[in-house]
Amino acid sequence: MHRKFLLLIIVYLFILSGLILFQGNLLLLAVPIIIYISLGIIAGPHVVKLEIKRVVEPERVLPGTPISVRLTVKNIASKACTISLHDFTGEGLEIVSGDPQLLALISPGTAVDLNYTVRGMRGIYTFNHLVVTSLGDDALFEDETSFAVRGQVFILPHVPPIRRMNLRTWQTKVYAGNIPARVAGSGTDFFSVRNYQPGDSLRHINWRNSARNPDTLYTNEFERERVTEIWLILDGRERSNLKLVGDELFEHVILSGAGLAQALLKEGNRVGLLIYGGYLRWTFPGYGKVQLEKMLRSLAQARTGDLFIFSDLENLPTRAFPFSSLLILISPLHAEDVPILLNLRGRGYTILVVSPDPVKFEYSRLAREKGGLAGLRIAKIERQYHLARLQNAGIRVVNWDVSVPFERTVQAALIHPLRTAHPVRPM
Amino acid sequence: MKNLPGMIWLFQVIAALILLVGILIQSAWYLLPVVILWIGLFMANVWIPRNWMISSLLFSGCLIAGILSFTGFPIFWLVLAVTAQLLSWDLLCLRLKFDQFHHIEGDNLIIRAHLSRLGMVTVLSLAMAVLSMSISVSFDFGWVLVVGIIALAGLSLVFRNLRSSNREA
Repeated sequence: MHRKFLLLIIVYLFILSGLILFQGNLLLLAVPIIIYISLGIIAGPHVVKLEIKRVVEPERVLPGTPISVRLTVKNIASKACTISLHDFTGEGLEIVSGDPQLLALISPGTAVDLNYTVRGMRGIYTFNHLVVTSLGDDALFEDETSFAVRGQVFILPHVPPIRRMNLRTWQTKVYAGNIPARVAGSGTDFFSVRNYQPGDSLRHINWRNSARNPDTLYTNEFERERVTEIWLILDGRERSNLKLVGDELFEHVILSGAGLAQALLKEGNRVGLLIYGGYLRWTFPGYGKVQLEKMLRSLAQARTGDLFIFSDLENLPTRAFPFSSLLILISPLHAEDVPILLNLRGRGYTILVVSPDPVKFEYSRLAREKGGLAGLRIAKIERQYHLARLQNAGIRVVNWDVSVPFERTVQAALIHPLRTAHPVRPM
Repeated sequence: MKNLPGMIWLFQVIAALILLVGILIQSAWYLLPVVILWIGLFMANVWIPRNWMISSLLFSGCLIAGILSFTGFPIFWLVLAVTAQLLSWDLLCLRLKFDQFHHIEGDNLIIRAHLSRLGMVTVLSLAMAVLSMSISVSFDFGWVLVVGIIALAGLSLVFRNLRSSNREA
């Protein structure tokens, strides 16, 4: 029961029973409580005038890193005030030390600090308001006010350091990069031999060929290296997200996406991101550090979704991806996804599939169950069959056992460039 | 902060003594169950204070005082008992508030501000009780009407005041 109502009930019980029973003594018993309430009304909590600042440090962190939140509350009124402060931390943040609540009596012109430390998992967390309750000098009157004091913290996904990947596409952009462009020019890898032309560097003369043909000189040509447009497509479908205690397969998808985004942008490529799941979250292609920041923020906010229309890859908006682009699909893969990927390959896309292995991910749990090992063996064979179908169609597949660091798997799988056959476009 | 439980104890003991003496003198044994309940609530509040227990403690204390007023026990002591109850209740609420916070800035100042307010309440209440002993008014229908109107006016005033809403700064 609210304290004010309790006192009112007692007062009115005394008064009404006194009036009904003609007992003046009962009226007199109500007097202390009436005085208490009256003094509370007269000198009740006044409207507080506060200056509040919020500092969240650091604003960009990795998961699990402590984030310090400091609120400085200054009383700019002419009277001292007793206030309680209650800060609402974003949902998903865990308080490590300190307390987001404080009770304080603040003299005019002075300030108090509310400090606490939080940590959380990947995401964007906002601090919106601070609830200040002005308390009177009694137990009755409280005046609650909500102050908009905003703050934000980005908890970005871990970015595994990937040194270099050997990728190939059929078309490249004009800028110099690391992807072989299938055109002769300045580069490091041998491309072809042609007749010497005046102006060619003597260092590039192919002496062996020239010795065989004494009348002519031959020059080595090298393969030009350029940048290309790459689309990272992350599988955010709820059905692809296997969950174990304290671990989700989607987190590995995010981690691999972050690692690939950084490595590809570092090599100068134009990279875009699409999170395909309960919604389509686009990060349109771009270059450089700004693009990396955009992509990491997008990955920080990525959540799985369960929308019927996106339950398979059939509705992948392929029109948004130019034919010259390299598509990197990060997905545990379902059997139904294979024909769609084969169709995309047939339409001319160069595709790389990075697939966190769901069978090995679930191994520790299923191996303990009755019949689990047999089931795992069947699932493994089925997966191998699907991956082989993709590889036979010229789709490069990186099968990633998530217990192994992603960078090690990628570097081992993509150490040599794979020359894929030119796709035949359907007439 | 350290003195807060002691003060609560002191006010509660004052109220208990007055009411128990009243019951003994007036031989109002039928009030004993309520008194036992009241003492039980007080002891429980010492260990695990809860909002409902604090409210019940005040309510039952006032109930005993109200019933004792019919027995002819001196009203001054009953007003004193109710005042002591009220002070104890206020400080218990304050203690409950303090328990909600791990960190309190200026706790002694907050208690001092509370005590000064409670001092005013005590002085005014006792002054009214003393005044009531010296002034005698015949309680007829006219007084009932006046007190009733004042009570209704007070009720509407209080309700208007209670309608404090949260404001977005």
